[in-house]
Amino acid sequence: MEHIRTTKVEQVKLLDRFSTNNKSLTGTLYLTATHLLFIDSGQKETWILHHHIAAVEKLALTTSGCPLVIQCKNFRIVHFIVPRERDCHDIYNSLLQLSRPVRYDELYAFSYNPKQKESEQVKGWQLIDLAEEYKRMGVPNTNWQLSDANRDYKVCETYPRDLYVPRIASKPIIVGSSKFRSKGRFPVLSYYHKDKEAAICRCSQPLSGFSARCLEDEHMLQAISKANPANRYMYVMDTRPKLNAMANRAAGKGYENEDNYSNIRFQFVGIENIHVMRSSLQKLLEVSGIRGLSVNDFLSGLENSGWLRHIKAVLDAAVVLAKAIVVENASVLVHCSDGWDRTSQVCSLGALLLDSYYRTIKGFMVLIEKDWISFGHKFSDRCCQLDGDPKEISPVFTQFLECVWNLTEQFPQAFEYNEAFLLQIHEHVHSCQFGNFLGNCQKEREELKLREKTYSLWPFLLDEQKKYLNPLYNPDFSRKLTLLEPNTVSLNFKFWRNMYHQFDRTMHPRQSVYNLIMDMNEQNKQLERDMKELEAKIKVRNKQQNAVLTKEPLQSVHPTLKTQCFKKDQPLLPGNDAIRTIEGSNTADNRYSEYMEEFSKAEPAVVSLEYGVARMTC
Amino acid sequence: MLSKAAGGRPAKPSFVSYVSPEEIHIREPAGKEVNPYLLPGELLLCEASTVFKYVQEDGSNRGTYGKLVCTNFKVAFLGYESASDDNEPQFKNKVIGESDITLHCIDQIYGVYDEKKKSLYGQLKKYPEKLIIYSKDFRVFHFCLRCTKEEEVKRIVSGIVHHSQTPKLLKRLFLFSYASAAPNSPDAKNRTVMFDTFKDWHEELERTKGNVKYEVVSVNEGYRVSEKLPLYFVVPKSFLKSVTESILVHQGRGIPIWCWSCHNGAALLKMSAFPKEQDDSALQMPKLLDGIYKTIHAPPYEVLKMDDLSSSLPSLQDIQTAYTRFKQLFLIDNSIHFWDTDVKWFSLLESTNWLEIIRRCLKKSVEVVEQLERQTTNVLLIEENASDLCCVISSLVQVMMDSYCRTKFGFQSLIQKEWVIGGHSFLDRCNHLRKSDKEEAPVFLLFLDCVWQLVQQYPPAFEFTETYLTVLSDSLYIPIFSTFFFNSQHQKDTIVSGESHNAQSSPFRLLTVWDWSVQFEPKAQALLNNPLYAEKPKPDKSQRKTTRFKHHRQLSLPLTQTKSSPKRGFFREETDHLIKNILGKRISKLINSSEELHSNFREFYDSWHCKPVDFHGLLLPHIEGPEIKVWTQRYLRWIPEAQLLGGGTVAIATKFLDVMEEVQKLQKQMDEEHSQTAPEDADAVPTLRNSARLSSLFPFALLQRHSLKPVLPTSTWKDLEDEEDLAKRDDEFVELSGAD
Repeated sequence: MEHIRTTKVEQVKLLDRFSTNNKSLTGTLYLTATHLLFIDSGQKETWILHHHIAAVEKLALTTSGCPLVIQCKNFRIVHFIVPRERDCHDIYNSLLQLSRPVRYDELYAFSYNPKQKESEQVKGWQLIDLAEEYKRMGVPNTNWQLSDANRDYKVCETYPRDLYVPRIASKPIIVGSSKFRSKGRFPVLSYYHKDKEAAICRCSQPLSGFSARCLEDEHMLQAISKANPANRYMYVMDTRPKLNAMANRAAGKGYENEDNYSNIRFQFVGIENIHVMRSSLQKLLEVSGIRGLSVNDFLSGLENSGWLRHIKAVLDAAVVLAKAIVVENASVLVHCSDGWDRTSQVCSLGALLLDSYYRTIKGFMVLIEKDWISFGHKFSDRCCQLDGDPKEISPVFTQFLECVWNLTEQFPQAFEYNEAFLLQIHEHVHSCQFGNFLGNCQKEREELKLREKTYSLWPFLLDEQKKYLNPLYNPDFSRKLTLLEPNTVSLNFKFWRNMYHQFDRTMHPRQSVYNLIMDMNEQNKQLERDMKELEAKIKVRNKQQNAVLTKEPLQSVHPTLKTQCFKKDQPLLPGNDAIRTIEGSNTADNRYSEYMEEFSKAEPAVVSLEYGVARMTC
Repeated sequence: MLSKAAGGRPAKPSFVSYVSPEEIHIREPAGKEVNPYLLPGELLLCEASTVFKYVQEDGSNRGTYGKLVCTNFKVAFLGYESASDDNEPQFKNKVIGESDITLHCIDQIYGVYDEKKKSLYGQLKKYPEKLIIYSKDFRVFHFCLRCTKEEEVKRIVSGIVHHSQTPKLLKRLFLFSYASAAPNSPDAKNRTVMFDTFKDWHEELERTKGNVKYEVVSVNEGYRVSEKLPLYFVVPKSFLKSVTESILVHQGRGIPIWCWSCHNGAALLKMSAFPKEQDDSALQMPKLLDGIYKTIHAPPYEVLKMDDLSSSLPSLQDIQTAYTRFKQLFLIDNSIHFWDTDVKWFSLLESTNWLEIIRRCLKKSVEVVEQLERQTTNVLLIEENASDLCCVISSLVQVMMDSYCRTKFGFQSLIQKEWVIGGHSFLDRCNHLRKSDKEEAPVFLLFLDCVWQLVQQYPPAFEFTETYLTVLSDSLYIPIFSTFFFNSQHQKDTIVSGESHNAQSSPFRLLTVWDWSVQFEPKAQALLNNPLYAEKPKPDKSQRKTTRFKHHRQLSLPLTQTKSSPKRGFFREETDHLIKNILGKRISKLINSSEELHSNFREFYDSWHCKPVDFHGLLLPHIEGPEIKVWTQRYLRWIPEAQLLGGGTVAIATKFLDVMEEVQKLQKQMDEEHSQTAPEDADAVPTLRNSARLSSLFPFALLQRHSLKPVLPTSTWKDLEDEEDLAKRDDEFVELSGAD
């Protein structure tokens, strides 16, 4: 509160960054403890969470006022013009402070209160149970067991307490191996493929330098390959480019020497590091932010940014991983430098390709909880939750979501969730509104007592899962454990407009085909219900009449059906229930609902289509 | 009778060989003679046996032996082993088989001599051991001739090169021999308006309510005025009275021809400009034209704005160059070639400039729409012959503004009106006769690609699917349809009357491409229709009244209409510009300062995009760079490396079809229940097609096995990248704690 000097500024203009006309919206800007709120003359509200603010900039004074540009982590860019420079300066300073909290307890999650009972809060946190998930995969079993080596975070601080390792890997081997791995992140199980009995394991780079060896580590890898009865060879995938790995050798780190390990096949995959990714996204955003972008500028910008090439590289690695397991029955050990960025990407995507469970809403939550949260992807550093080193920021998780989105685009029928689900998760990774993504590792989260002090995101998403359902989802698309084979040819990778332009109205198609199908589905369900109802009525009548059924009653029934289905038009439109409950009292970042509200008002086309369907069905 | 084409359908590659062709002991298929299926009027010109056709050049040498034939219609490959009929493709062309290429569809022919690829043309001295044919619908055929007798190689290679590459006489087009040999089929009733009669034009005027200010004229009967102009066309009502006959001397140049009228009365017109060398008549022209334009500027006509397309859009030359480069990206010789292009895909795409040309056409069309719709001005498109970019822009404007043009018949009528009758030189632009490369330009394909952009941005707004557009683009090269094989209506009429005079028999009837049953069975035709399209709801009567009322009001008060005086001064000035322009002295940005135009346009564009879409109303495309996409179905359909098993847009489309089928089934059930004929257990599950595992190449290519693919494709592009210095890579090393 001490940072806020001005709470309300009137006559502020909001400019659209893509339309050249100067029809700006005028309204009032409010600054609250958690949000920046703009209410325009049409009473439309724009909420911006302080934690979402990535950068605030004050531009040179113009005749109409002082421009203030705010860049958000969810790729929203707002351009205000504040009439008085003094107000602008106050807001600017306040936002600078507010958007960079120093301590965890300043984060929104600690003050956010969705008015839930304590028992619900506890239940919410219990929704995703990783022990349950490992059981679903089929571990522990004869080859894999739960290790208590890291019970007290003694072996590795950034790993979770519960780790699964080969049964024959004794504790001394584990400890020895962890000493030979960067940050103590020794090889552990990430995913177990029940049918092939092969495993995805993950770790960090070995401290091999130019020649160092570690017998325990060699044993550890041997144990992993022995845990796979089908194939005694295993792959070791170093997800870094070879040059980077070689550079690391000089610092006493590096990669496995194939000669020292029995039965391994070593392979580099060539995904670039976090700094390359950060600047690549920066370049992409610069290009996509140009007004009236020509095709050629876009294509050359896209090529120069390299962003889609990086996305492709990540997905390629996941495909190689998944194929090694399905085609060759081989276990794979994945690592990068510290094993929390590229490794998380590749392991989770590989599992997503292998196991259709992760293509369901609940399964995707489990996947994120397992490969990202529990294995210590540094969400706090990468998303800049606290004021910290800007070089630690990198869109690694965004990249993962984009890979998943590309898969959903390639296989429209394979995923239970839709784009909105991915966007919502992305939103909350940065919002710091829920406890799930706070901090860098499990140990830190326990110290922060997140489970008592904050809420879990997942139950909220599940409650409104209707919004996140993919209407084209076909559960029979792939039977359990069949491999999803994406095509990673460059031309199959698309620019993710709905991510990078999610707040730029003019850039959006306003009526997606998906909405149409959703409507049709709803309509069909309603009609089925009506039919059942009517059938029941007919039966009752038949009984009453207790005689031969004449044609008369049926004919009288038919018209009623017709009128009924037309009446159903209203409640079936999407987004009429647009006010989101997830935010509790406020409706910050109501991105998707905004569109829905706006565009569901008068949609003759939808109605006409419904007429068409209704006519056909009646 | 065409449906029997299946008999001659070349075999699918069922004979798979893993050894190189030479190693195979070829058994002469003595007992088994394969004969090509010939269409009426089709003649076998030459043939070669034991030709080896590769399944796809991926280095695996898989393929089949068969006979390669060349007729006056097509080049066809007939496999010795006939394919079993159980994997009959769902979507089959009745005229063109899977391994048939019509002579007009052949794009490039290459011969391979000692592993070197050379283009084949003219007289050949040496005959290649391998023949590669690129077709205009993006198929690539590889034939190995090593096992073929030398005599036959000579004959077939020179035959194919000769019949597909050398100039041809118009009368030698296959269409004439087909038409005279084919039994006269009863004229199928087609709802497509052909625009070859007075009545068609008149009805179009009435439909668009343009009949108030415009009229159909028949001055060109017998092509007295111009051979470029159609028999009947529409001009402003007072126009012909006001001009002297002298205007008619100029071959129809300078006549503003009506294309379409907007609901608010504003009209889209086109006009061919005078050639630039017309200096002798230049002196009297201004006076003449001044008179003409005074009449069409004055009320009741709206203010006229003109747009010289030659200055605001890329030239035909640019379009041709761009397309030549663009199509080369999709004519893939082998997998290695494919992976090479994949590495720098986006910059290759950029370097072709094709997508940018599409964007510029769409943008121009939106600008014209803005002038018609919001400013209520008449727009006059000017081009040298008014039959190339004029057709693109005017058709696109109509597709965007007139929902009738988004129905199948409406779209076909539009193509008849603007392109076929409108005088687009299909023969020259497609270079069907191989006469001159200079005239070649894929203008019609450009238009189809623009429409595709609209279709993929607003699928529910169109009655047809992208498959329809793809099939239509293929039909451009099938010479049994007359639609795309003439330069003008005049050319067609003269040659047809000449031919039937010679034949002395009943006048033969040329087929039009719009009769889709010639090419496809009804089941396949279903893929051309968009299941998501809903017909325009009938407007309320009250609504209709109001629009009519508006119209009447405009009518009744034409003279008092408030076109304020400054504007009059404005258009006077404009007339001067126009005249200069017509005289060929190019004036750069005319009329509005470009700045103003631009912001007007932007405002209109932005405000439209802020409102919900009415699929039966005005439709504006997104024209930001990222929104212009590659028409994957057309360009990538034969490339196995690009396929997605069980994925792609096809997955969505087939899902729709499934849902629609289900709906229809339910309806049938209800009907039956209603009429009480159905038994009680009517809860049969609808039989859904297995859409889950269709390839994204459906319905064109068959499901292919997985293509060989480098284990780690990433490494290939790595090598091509500039080697960054190690210092930069070291940042990983420097920042060990940070970099993961």
